Amino acid sequence: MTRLIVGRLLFMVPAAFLLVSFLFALFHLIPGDPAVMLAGDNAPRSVVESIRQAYGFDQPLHVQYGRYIAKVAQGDLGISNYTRDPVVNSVIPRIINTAQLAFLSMLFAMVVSLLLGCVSAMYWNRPLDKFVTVVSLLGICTPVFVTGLLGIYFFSIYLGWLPISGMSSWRHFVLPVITLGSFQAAVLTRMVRSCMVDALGKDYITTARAKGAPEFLVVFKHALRNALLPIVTLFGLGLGHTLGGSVVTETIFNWPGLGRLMVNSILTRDLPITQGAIFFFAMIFILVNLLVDLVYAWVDPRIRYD
Amino acid sequence: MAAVEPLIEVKGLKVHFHTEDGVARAVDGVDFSIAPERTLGVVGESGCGKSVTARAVMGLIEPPGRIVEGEILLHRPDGVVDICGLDTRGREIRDIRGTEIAMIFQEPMTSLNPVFKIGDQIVEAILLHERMTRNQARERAIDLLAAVGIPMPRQRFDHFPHQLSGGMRQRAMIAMAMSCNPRLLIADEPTTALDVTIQAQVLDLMNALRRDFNTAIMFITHDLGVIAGMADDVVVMYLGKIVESAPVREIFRHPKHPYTQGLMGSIPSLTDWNARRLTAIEGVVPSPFAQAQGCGFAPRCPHAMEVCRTRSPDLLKVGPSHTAACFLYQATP
Amino acid sequence: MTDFFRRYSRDKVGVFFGVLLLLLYGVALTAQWITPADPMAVNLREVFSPPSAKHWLGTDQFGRDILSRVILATQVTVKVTSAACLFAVLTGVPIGMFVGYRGGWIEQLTMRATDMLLIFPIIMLAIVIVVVSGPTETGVIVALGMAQAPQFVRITRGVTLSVKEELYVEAAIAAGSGWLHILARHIWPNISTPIIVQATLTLPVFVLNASALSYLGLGVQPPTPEWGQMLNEAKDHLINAPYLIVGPAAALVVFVLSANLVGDAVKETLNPKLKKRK
Repeated sequence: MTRLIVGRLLFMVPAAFLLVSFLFALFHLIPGDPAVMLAGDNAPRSVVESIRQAYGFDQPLHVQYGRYIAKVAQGDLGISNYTRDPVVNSVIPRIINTAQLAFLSMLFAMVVSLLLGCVSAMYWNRPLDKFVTVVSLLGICTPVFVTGLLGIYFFSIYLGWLPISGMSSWRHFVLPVITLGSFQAAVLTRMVRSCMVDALGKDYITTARAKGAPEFLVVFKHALRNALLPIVTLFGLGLGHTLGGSVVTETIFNWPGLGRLMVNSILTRDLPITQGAIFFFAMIFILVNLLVDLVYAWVDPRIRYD
Repeated sequence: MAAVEPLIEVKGLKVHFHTEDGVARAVDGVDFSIAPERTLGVVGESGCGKSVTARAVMGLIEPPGRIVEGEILLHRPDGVVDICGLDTRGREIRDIRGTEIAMIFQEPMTSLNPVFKIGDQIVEAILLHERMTRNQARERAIDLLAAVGIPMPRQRFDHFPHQLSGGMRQRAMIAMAMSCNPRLLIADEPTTALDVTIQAQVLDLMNALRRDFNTAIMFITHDLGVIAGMADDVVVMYLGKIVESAPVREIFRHPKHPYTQGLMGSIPSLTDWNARRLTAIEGVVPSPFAQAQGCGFAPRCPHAMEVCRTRSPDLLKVGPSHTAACFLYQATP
Repeated sequence: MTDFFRRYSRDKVGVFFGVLLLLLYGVALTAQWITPADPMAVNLREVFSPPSAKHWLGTDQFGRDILSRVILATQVTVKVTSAACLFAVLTGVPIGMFVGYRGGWIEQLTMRATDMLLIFPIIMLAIVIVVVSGPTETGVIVALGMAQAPQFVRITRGVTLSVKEELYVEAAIAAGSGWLHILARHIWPNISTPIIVQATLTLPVFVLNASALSYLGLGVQPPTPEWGQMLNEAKDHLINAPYLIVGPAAALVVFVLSANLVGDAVKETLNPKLKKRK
């Protein structure tokens, strides 16, 4: 087990390296003169030229690459085109905001999907199950921005209970978390139900009933513990998708997070910020992936005890 | 012989499965009884309804299966209970499972929960029915593991099913089943998935336990050789019905029903120096969805007569404690 | 083929939504002719009119008829998502087939790269690619297609692995056929069904991601209408014109719902074993 952890952590280093190289390539793949992009379309030639020299765009590509890697290794991701502040200053605080949103939404989604999925599987093919199936189907067909807009309209504008945007109080959390969380909940409920139905069809469930175990023990202990293996993987993927969905959710609710920063930077052509945001997002995804693998290995006694 | 009150009486049991492809009459009118402390062998090919019958006795028939007719009477000191009438998820049947009737299954690898230690699974079986502390249950479980012949039971308690061999898993299953001293142990093909040498060990174990715990056993198998060594009485099933019933020696010496005769003829014998050819029964077991008129075995029966194709024979006495369902033994149709 | 339709027709839900989906595709194909008004026509005298007999879904901030724009957006969505799906299949499947068949280090390397890409949600990959490919229809097609391609690589490789052990492949090799010939004539016909099923199943994903990109402003640009983009515009006018949400939202949900249910029905028709326990 520890070998697994160490191995995967070490993997983060070459992964980060690959990532940074990719970002470098990205910057230079975008059609257009990088110096002009940094200076702005209307900047005078002299400004463009001085930027070109300062950033070393006149150097051969491999030299630029080397300098870029060196700067990143020192924690320098460049400065924003617009604010002229270091990229890291804008990006890092936003990470926490996004993390809060994603974490709470995922928590919501996990609780809801586990409950509904298990109950659904317990009452397999009976009315409750069919109802849950229909609701979750509608849920996965309704994108986050539709739910978000509807939520804003009803709860913020029509009823006036909740605020529309920002992040200052607990009330600000309600709509974004439920919006992002319920989409994920719909996706996960279907999968949890499927895993539970599979588990409930296994032989050891018959054995458990034959022992005289009551049904809730059969479902929530015997079946769920086995279904947890695939469910954990699904939750891990779900966390990734929640982070992806947070980009849209942050845009809807003006949430000061990494996703909204990234999108805005793309719209305003603030490339250094875009690179910084992509870099951190990617590292987060790799980290999440690692964590999920670890949790899975821990949950499966076949891996843990070998 | 004094009439002993039976432990289980099955009367006219019919279990049907309603599926998209039709109605499968898995059990189609079955009567038998199990006497206390005796072993009943239930023999038949796959699909004859023996496993379904066993599950019906445990109250484990779930949709799309349904008990459409019949009674399964459990005789207790304080009265008789019809298992067919109990809610399959209700309190009553759950109290019966484990304490009065227990069951072990064919595939111990898939029948044991892979994510729990085997010791804990036995402890669960105990604590579901008896009040004691976890530690007491743990000690009892370790004793049971020892009783079923698992070496180093204290260490094995903490092992997971995948860390045990097939034979040991089955022993653990038996330990779990016997943990609350059931009066009847239903064994559904317990040795089919095991190697022959391990088979013998497990069967010996079951015989020993039967003596020590005074348990009756309902032993389900398709293997006649196993029946010969284990059963006191035998019941042969085909297509959801019982076609012959007799004490074990009687049925081996004088098999009356053509199907039983066919089964006997297909056992290789180590002592038969005549090197008689093994006879296979012609044809295959028909689909349970097919609604046969007349005797279900008629299409494959070497002695089939006209009447066999139109009417279904009842079980008739053909010898001492010996019944068979065949028109060959009826005086006049 | 007729066998497939016969079995498919037994699934009532599948049939209903299949017809609905065909209708939607019909709308997409004939959009130019069936819109009640010109979707691009600006009419400043009729800005923000609520739904009425003249404009069933109302008008937007430029006085444009919402219903017409929703209909035209159907065409845009169908065009973009079908092209993106095709792109993903045409890039992912050949790679998957080739590396699955070849094996060796090239398979290891490709699968490692694919697995790494699969860590990221499709929408993230699409956003990153669109930075390079630009927020145009073509850019969106490339972005969505490339973002979804790794999934197709993985699936194609999987089925190729199982098929390549078959005897007829061995026979073809023994007969001296080259790898291209084997892939095209022996492997592809046997994996085409699960691949096509998978493509059908990803269609709703394409639609959701395309509309998400457009919502963010990174996809189809105005004045070309797209459901996500229209919802983005609707957001700014939620207070005075909430009805702007209705058209695009309903169209999106109905389209994705139909695509999902048809995909499920196709999958179940082709895999009857799965029908046992659902």
